[in-house]
Amino acid sequence: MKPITLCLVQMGNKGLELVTAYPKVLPKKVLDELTYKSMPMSAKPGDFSSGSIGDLFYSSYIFQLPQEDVRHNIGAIIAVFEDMKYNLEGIKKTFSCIIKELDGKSLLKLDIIQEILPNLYTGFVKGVINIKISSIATISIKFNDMESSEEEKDYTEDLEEDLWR
Amino acid sequence: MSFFRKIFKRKKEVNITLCGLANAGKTTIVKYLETGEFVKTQPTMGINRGETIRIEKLEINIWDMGGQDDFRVLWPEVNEKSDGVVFVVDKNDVMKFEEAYKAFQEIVEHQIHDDVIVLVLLHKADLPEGMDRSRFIQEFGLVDLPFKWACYETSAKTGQNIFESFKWFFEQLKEG
Repeated sequence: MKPITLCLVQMGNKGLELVTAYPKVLPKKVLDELTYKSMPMSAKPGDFSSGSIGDLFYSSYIFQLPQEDVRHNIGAIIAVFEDMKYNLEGIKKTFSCIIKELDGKSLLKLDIIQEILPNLYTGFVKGVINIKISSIATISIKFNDMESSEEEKDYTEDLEEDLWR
Repeated sequence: MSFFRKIFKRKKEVNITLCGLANAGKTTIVKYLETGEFVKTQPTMGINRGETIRIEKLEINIWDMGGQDDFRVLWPEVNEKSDGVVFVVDKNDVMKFEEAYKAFQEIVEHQIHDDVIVLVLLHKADLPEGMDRSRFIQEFGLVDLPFKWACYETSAKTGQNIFESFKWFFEQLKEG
């Protein structure tokens, strides 16, 4: 389950806007389309959507970005793949778990997600996500290479225990 | 129940749209109508189909439209089928007043039918700053508007005029 890039999108004043992509391997035209498609109409926090752009495939997880004095914003974290044989459920669980943990620690902020994006990408590539998000908090997720697996497994089985160890 | 009684008892179904710039407070107004309290929301992705409100003789479908530039291209198609338009303006966002005025003019000049009811809400009235209602009515050109219209100062935080304004709005829709 090796994405070619991870992207972060938020709602701006004019519409959806790309915050960052890591690694920056996709052309602007593709990134623009990805940004536009990352949140379907009437999307709400917690929604998960997948689609394709040309030969590429993507899955995006939509979440609420809490704000203190003003209204909340919405964002999406997106994984892009060259091959459609990736585990949708695994991506969804990984993204939702990370967002949930960040939110639980009041760390669900764009700059923090932006900062952990390279580590998250490396984690997907290596099959082990290990992200230190503060002096006391670390997100650890282990998952097998799901591309070759025919049987669906519960990859978050040990997730709860592993998180914040 | 006889066929004729069914016909006469049938509720009139109307569509209303909520338009306005991003962060004007459209969705919080819809939530206030649904729940009776202030609910913190997030930006609307395109269009939200709110709950259908049922009051005497009326079944009201609410279309809550995203206010960002990119979503305004969706407004004409929905407004064209609308029986009533609620245009929400953030009373305190004076910097965006001109943009709001242009968006409003676009709606009343090109997107709605002649018999549509127009409710303009000068919203977030709980905040101390901002334009007062009489000046707003003048500058927004409401006096010359060839529609049945009303303008209220509202707040979803205090509930100020939310039900009152929509009571007027629904009465007009019922009569129309």
